[in-house]
Amino acid sequence: MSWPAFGEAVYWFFAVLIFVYMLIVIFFYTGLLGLSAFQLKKESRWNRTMEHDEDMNAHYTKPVTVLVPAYNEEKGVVDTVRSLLSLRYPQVEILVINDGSSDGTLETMIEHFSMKPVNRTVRRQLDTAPVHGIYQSNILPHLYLVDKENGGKADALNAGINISRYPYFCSIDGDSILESDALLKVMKPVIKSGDNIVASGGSVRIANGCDIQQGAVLSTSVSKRPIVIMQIIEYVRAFLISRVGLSRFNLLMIISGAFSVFQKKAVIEAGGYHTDTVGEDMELVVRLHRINKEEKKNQQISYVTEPVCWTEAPETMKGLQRQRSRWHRGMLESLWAHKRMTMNPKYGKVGTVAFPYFWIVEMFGPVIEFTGYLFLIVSFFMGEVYWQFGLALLLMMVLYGSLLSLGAVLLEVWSLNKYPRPRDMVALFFYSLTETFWYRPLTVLFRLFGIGQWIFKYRRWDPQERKGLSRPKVAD
Amino acid sequence: MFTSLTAAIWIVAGLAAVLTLIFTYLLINRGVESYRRRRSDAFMVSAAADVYQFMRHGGKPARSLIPNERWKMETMEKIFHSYRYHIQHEQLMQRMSMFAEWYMLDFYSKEMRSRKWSRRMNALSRIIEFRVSGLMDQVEERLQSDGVRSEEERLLMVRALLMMKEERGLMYLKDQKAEWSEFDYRRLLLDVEASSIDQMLLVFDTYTLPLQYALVDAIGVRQLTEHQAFLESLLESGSQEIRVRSLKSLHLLPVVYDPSVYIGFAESPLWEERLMTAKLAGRLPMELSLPLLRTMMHDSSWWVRIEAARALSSVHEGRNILDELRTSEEDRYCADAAVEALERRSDHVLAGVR
Repeated sequence: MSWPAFGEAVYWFFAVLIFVYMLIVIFFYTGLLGLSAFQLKKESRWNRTMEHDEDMNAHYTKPVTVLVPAYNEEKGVVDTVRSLLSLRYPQVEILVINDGSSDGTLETMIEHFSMKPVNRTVRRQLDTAPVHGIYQSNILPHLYLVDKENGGKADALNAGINISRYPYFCSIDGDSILESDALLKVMKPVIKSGDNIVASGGSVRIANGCDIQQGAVLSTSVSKRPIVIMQIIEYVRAFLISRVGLSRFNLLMIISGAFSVFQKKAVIEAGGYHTDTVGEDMELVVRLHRINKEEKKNQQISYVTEPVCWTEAPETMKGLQRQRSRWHRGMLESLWAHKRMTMNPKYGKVGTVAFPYFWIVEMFGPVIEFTGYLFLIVSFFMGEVYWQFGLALLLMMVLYGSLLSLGAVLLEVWSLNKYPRPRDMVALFFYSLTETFWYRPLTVLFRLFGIGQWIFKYRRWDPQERKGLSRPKVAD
Repeated sequence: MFTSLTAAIWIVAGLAAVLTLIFTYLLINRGVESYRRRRSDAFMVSAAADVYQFMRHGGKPARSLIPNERWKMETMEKIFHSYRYHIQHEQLMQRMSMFAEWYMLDFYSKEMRSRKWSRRMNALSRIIEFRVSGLMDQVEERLQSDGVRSEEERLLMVRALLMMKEERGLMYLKDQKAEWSEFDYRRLLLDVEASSIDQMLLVFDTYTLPLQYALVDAIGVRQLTEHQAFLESLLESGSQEIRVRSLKSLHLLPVVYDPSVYIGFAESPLWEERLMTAKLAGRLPMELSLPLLRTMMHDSSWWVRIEAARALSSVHEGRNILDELRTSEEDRYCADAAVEALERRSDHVLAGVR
C-alpha cells in the first residue's frame, strides 16, 4: 500500500470512529433528555406547599450538620453562613472548618458571629490534621467554628465529620448560597426512604449576575459575561439531562461537592473523604457504590432536580481553565482508583453501565472531540470529498453541542423557570446555539489539560479566585 | 455522500427550527404567566380586607372573593394556605372549610377527574388542607376503581378519608397492600383524630412494621397519655426497634408514673435502650435518678454518657455530681462529658440573662 493510500485509510478509520462515537453519544443524551422531560412533566405543576410545611415538623426530619470547609474564604464565608442561617429546617448545626487559612477567615468569623472557644467532646473516628480549637457563636448557639491545620478540603470535611453531632451531614462550598428550603428538599428522599439512602444531592445553578444580599438570593438573572452565560447553560445541561437520567437507575457517580448530604455512619464506615485526590466528592460517591455492592447493602444515592444551591462561577479564562482541569483530573483520579469496577458484573449496573459511560463519554470524550475539531479543520483543506465529511461532522457537533444544550435550556425554561426574565431566556437561547463554535472547544482543551496534569502527576489543588457573591454595599 | 449530507443539513435545520418554535411558544407562555401572576398579586392585595372580615366574623363572604375562574381559585388557595400556616385556630379552619365546600367543591371534583396526575394531586392536597368533606364519596369511589396507579395518590386519598370519614379510612388502611414507608404512615397519622388512633391500637399487631413504628411515635409526639400503659406493655416486645421507640415516646409523655418499668433498661446490652433510659431518668425523682445517672456517666457509649451528663446538668444536685466528675482521673471520657455539659449549662444560663 502506498503512503497516500495508507494515509487515506487511516483518515477514514478515525473519521468513522469519531462519527460513530458522536452518533452513539447523541442518541444516549437524547434518551436522557427525554427521560428528564418525562419526569419533570409529571412533577412540574405539583404544588407541594402543604408537603413542604409538614416537612418542617421536627419529628419527621433527621437532624443535619452543615459542614463548611473554608480555606482563604474571608470574602465569601460570612455570606455563606448567613445563607445557612435562613435555612428552613427543624434541627441543624453549622460547622465552619477553617482549614489553616492564611487570610482573615478565622478572624472574620470570630468577629462577625461573636465566637468564643468551647470544650466539646470529640469522637475522633477519622484521622485528620490537628485541630487547634472549637469555637461557638455567642449569638447563634448552633453555629460552630473549627480551627485546624491546613490539610485540604477533604481533611477539613473529615474533621467536621468527627466533630459533628448529627447522623447526617451536608457539605457545602464556602462560595455557595443555599435556597432556604434546600435541606428540606435534599433530605426528602432520606426522610422518605430511611437509612438506605446514603447520599443525596441537589441541582446547582450559577450565582454570578443574581441579586444576592445578606446571603440570600433576592432575584435571579443571567450574567452579562458570555463565559458565565455558557457555564449557566452547561450546568443546566449537566444537571437536567445527565443527573436526572442517571439517578433514576441509581447510577449517579457525582453529586455536587457544592451541596450534598451524606449519611455520617456510611461515610465513616467507608473511611471518610480521601485526602489524596482533588475530586474527593466523586471519589467518595464511587467508594460508597463499591462498598454497597461488595457488602450487598442495597444503599442508594439520590438526586433532586430542583435547584437548591447557587455557586460562584469563574469569570476569567484562567479561572475556568483551572477549575475544569482540576475537575477532570479529579474524575480521572476517582475512576483510576476504582478501575477494577469497570465492566465488572459484580458491581451491577454501576460497573457495567456507569463506569463505561464515565470512561468513554466523560473521560475520553474530550480526546475524541478534540480529534473531531482537528479533523474538521483538516477536512476543509483536503478537497471536496473531505470537506463534505467535515461538514457532516460539524453538523453532528452542532447536534451534540448546541442543540442538546438548547434542549436542556428549553427544559429549564418550561419546567423550573429559574431565569424568568425574557431577556435572560433569549440570551440563554442564543448563546446555547453558539456553544459548538467557541465554548465547547475551549472546555475540551481545558479538560485535555486535566488529563495531561494527571499523566504528569501534577497533584496540586489550584485555588479559585473569589469575588464574593453579595452585591457591594452602598457607602455608609 | 452529497445527498445524505443535504439530508443531514435539513435534519439539523429542521430540529433547530422546531426548537426555535418551542422557545417562542415558551417565551409567550412566560409572558402570559407573568401577567397572571401580577393579576393574582393585585387580587391578593385588594381582597385582603374582605378575607380578613370573613375569617374574623364568618357569615357570607364578599362577592369579590367568590372564585369563578381557575386563577382566582388558586389565589384563594394561596391566601387560605397563608392563614392556615400562620394561625392555628379551629374556628378559622371551619370557615376556610366552609368556604371551600361552598365555592370550590365543584372545581376540586372536576380536578380529581383530570387526566393530569399533578392536577389530581393538587386537588387532593387542597381537599385535605381545607377539609372538604363533601367530596369523600368521590374520593372513595376513585379509590375503589382500578384507575389509581400512583401510590402517592392513594396515600392522599386514604389520608383524606381517615380525616373526614374515619371508619372507611381505617378499613382502607387495613387492606393496604402496597408497601408504604414509615414516613408515609407518619404523614397519614399527622392529622387523624385521637379516636382513630384508639381504634388502630386495638388491631396494632395486624399492621405492617412501618405502621406500627409510626403509631408508637405518634403516641409520644401527640402526647397521648391515655396510651402510656400500651407503650409500657410494648417494652416487653421481642423487637428491639419497638422497645427503643416505646421508650422514646414514653420520654415525650408529660408524666412518668412507674419508674420501675424503665430502670432495668439502664443495664441493657443495647446502647440505644440505655440512651433512652438516660433521657427518661432525668424525669424520675432525684433519689432514683441521681445514682442511676452517675453510674451511666461511666457507660461505654459516648451517646449515653453525653445524655446522662445533660440530664444531670439540669438539676442543682446533678451539677454538683458533674463538678465532682470533671476532675476524675480514672475516667477521662466521663470527665470530658461532665465538662461539656457544665459549660453548655452555663452558656444557657448566660443566654437567659442576656
